[in-house]
Amino acid sequence: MMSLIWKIALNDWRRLWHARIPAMLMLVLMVLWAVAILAAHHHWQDHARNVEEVTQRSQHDWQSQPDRHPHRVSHYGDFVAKPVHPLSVIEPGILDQSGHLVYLEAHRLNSANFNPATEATSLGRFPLITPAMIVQWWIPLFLIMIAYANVTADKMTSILAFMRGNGVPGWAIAGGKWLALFLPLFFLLCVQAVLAFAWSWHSEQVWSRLGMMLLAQSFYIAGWCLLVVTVSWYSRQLHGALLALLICWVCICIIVPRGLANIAQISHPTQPRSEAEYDAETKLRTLGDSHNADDPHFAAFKASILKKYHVSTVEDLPVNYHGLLMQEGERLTTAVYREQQMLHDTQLARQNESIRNWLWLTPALALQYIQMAGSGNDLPHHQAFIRQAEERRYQLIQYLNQIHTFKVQQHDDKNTRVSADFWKKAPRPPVHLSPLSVSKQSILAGFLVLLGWLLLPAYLLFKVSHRL
Amino acid sequence: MKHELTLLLKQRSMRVLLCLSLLLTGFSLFNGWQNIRHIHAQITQAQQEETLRKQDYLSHHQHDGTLDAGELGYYQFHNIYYVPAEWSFIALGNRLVIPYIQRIRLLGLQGQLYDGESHHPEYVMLGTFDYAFLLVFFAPLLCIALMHDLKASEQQAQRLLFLQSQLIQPRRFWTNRLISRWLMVTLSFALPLCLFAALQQLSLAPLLQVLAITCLYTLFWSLLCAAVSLHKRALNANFNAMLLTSVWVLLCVVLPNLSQLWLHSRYPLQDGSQIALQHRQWVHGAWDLPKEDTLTPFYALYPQWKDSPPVTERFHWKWYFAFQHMADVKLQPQVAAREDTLMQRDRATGLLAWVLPTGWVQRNLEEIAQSNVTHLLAHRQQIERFHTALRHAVYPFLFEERPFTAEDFQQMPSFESVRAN
Repeated sequence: MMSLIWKIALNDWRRLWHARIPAMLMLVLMVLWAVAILAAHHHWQDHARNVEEVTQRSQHDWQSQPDRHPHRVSHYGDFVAKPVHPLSVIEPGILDQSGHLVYLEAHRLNSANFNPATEATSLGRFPLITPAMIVQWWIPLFLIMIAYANVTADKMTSILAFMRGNGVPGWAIAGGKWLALFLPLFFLLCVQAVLAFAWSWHSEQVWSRLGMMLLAQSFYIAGWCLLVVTVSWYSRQLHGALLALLICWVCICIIVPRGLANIAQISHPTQPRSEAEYDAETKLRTLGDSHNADDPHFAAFKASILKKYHVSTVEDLPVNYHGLLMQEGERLTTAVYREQQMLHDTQLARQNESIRNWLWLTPALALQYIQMAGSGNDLPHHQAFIRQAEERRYQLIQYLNQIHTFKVQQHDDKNTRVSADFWKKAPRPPVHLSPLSVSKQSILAGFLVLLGWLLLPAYLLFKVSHRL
Repeated sequence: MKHELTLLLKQRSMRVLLCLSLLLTGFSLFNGWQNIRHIHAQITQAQQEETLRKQDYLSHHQHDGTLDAGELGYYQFHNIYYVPAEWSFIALGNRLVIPYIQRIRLLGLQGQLYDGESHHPEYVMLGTFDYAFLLVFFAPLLCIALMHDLKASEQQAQRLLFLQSQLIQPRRFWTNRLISRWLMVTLSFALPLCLFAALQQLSLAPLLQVLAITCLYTLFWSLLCAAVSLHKRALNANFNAMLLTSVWVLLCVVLPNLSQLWLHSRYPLQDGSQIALQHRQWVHGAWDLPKEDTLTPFYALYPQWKDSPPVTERFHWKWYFAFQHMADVKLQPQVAAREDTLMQRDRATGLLAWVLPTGWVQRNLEEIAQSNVTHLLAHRQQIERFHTALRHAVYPFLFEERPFTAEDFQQMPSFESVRAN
């Protein structure tokens, strides 16, 4: 039976070869792909260079600090740049929208700033052409163009009836037609994956990331091939098939993803950052004011410290009380800021949820989620980056406060400068790209939708191919 | 003509297509409007709260009816609003990325100017669903669907020869056919727009501009389709459809991308992170310098205070704010160069728009909606003006060490008052 399917597929290829239009379309597709790789590589290089420059320069600036008071160093602060994965060449995701630099300083949690999207001209409003976009948008479009007449034409010329009359089972015809469409495209996807692997073989988790992307892409394209054959089988007229498929394409690839995103933003708006910051400050005020001697929280703190060291006044302490105060203050403010961050993350999660409820409408978006996760440029990766940066900030500031406590004499606090060696030894763990598992949820949702996207047209095709 | 229209509307697929287009246009207008309304609502709320917060600040930081001007500069944040224009809903442009409320205090401006907004970045990336997007992307597809087989459909129905033999004025017949289809496409965009403008009582001039752009753009695509489908040998509908779709991909995706690529390599932009790093060096390096190094150049800018009491103690607010400002002054050439490059990019986009119709439409709609990069730069200049006004309002109290009274506090400039000037 396999040989029968092969025969049908081969026959279809022969036909495609003789009609010159598919060859032309393939050529256009290749040109598009080349442009996409060029553009995406340029884009990636820009980002990678920036990250490299910022990391080097901030390292240099940090290391070349003179002797300073530790609290001054904690306000001098540190910069971290968001790491990019080489697979961003396939899907840059939110690289342009999320901002790539975080300033880490004492008593404050800064957002990532400098997102290139703000400063784009009108040309920036056109969708970026990337290899991921080619798979997501353009391959389905070209597929429709090549194959909408696939079965309809056979129906109109009665070849289909003739084949069925000769005892060829419907499912074999459907399988052959599907295979004829899917195999060349699958081959192209594999070529892309191999190229991408050659480009990024040394990067982290490249096997799982790339493998997952290839799997999702194959599911997606296989689903489109099924849909094209199915619609073509149902249609009686050529232009009817074309129109139906084009409407499907416009809805799935362009309109629904954007529509869903906008609806989510309207129905679950996020709090503006300025308001969130103000809320955090209000909360901080209720916690206590470390500068105010009568403040109940800090009065209690002072009492506990005095008790711990068995002394009666702050001046008698063997360590610097200001440093202790700074440590306590940082602990409190950090808790408030992290809570605020969590609040924001829940707001975003609510938007995500409202989208995922409707994700089945658009497998293109499902695929995009998976590709973004694979290249490390989706929201969970970004949030993980922010968390890592915040962890580093807290460690660093508390280290400086420790130095303040133990190395700065209390009676001459403000005029003391501590040796620069301490900054050189400060804990500044490099920020790494998070593992793929941070985006587990969106990957799962994406694959579930893609699976449905395979099963539904397959079922319909199976049904229609049995019609006599 | 009338005959053509009825013929057209009799086809079920045409009716479906036009209904879909009407629906989508309506939705795009509604969606853009909702986005802008949300921004307005947030801004109004923030404005109301700002006055309360000012009172709050006053009651918290007042000592015997006066305030410390230095503390005021450090702790008091002032809101900045990026208020949408009346027609901003037509093309949201960069409004979804730029924070519409920002907070500025008296510290160095360059450290505060570029903070991102807490939007969901994935959705900003997916892009907006507004009228401009629909017009640029969807209108051509509609034109192609309606007009790719003007002659070919007749040929397919084996009517073409008969038709040609019957026509007295073939040119007029085909023109009518084309115009009737163009009219349908244009109306499916223009009608919801006019209706919406009437319902919301929007001003007329921008409406006319948008309508003109819509008509011109759909006309361009209609003519393009006609050129392909009325060609003598264009009797294969599939071929026409593919050719036109390829042109669509070229104009809507490939060329804008290539142009942007060219633009970025032609006018390379210094990354903003360099400004942030440099700013920190200037601001925090100043602590380690002798105070004269900061104050002498500062007094060169503000000679009126050069005879004010000298800073002798370890810390004084006026020295602090002077070095904050001097960092901005030293960064000015870099910032100006960056802005210059952005303007050059924008001008080059304008030139490209003359040969790239999709770019032309997007750009002009964003011009009407005031959501282009030029408006961002104008907005940044407004922030700078406001920051300057703020500094000038507080400096006398700092440098002359005058008490800052509650009444002076009420006289402080707000972003609105500076914007109006």
